[in-house]
Amino acid sequence: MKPLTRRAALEASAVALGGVAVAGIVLGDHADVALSKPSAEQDAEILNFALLLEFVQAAFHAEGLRRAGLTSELRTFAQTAAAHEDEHVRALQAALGSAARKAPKLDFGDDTADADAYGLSALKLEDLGVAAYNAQAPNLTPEALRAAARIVSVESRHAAWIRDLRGLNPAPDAAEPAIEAQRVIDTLKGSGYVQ
Amino acid sequence: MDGRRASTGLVLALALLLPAVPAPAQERDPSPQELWDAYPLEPGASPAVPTPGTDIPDPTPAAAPAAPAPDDGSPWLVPVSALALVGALSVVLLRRRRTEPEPAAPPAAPDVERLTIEWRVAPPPPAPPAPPPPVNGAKR
Repeated sequence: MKPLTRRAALEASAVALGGVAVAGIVLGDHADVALSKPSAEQDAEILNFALLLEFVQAAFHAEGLRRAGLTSELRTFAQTAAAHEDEHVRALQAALGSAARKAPKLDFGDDTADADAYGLSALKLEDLGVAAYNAQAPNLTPEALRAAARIVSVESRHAAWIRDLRGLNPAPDAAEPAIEAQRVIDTLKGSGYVQ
Repeated sequence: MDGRRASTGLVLALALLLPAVPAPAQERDPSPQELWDAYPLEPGASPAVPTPGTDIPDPTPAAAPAAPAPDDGSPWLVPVSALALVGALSVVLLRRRRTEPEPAAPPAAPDVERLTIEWRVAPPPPAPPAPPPPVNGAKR
């Protein structure tokens, strides 16, 4: 277990400060997001990025259930996570109202072809979801942050669950490793899921 | 002495050349595909496919996410500075070596012999006192 050090806290703060500047890259039309104080407009952009992640996760688990031949606890995980991600999508759509983006076209390739491929990609997606929320959290208004915090805690439980199923330490760190928002975006792009 | 100078020159030449060798693996940012394939590890680390019963290290912040070096538009500054520093050091070392007096000759054999003789004639340590004779009827 790594202790929560002052350095880790400072790094997390630095990464969070840089997060909002890159959120717009994935959000297309809003690519000129400036580093500014939390605002309703900024909330919409960040929550739309979260919505994109939730779309990907929900569709991935659903396709895994149909295609990967999941059994036992891995199937239970997929069913639970799929239901949760659907709820997250609906919650974010409700919060965003007319500003909510539509679901993207997705292609998971062979990552839902069997249980092992599904499990590995599910681990990546759930870990990445936690990293994405954490990177953007300080840029949200308190009201949006309350909603996001309720979602990210559940994403973290998904990540711990699938880690355990994959034989990994479910809670390896005292503080979530800080990942730059741009790196989160690049990593998601690298999956090739979003067409 | 010429041999030593030649080897010193060779070492210095290597020291001058080595920093100039490019390190493309460290300067290139990983592609999104590489990031995804390696996640949650760093690209270039061990494969992200875990084996049952084993753990894999998570990316650390410094792990962290090895943040790309800021591009300040002068990537040549560091190697050129290193070259200049090594060059200056080599010049100083060579000049100092030229001005150094010849090393003193090793001590003559008679000195060693004399020391040995002195050691051998040192008086032996005093013998420990003999233990008292046992007394009849004394308890052990």
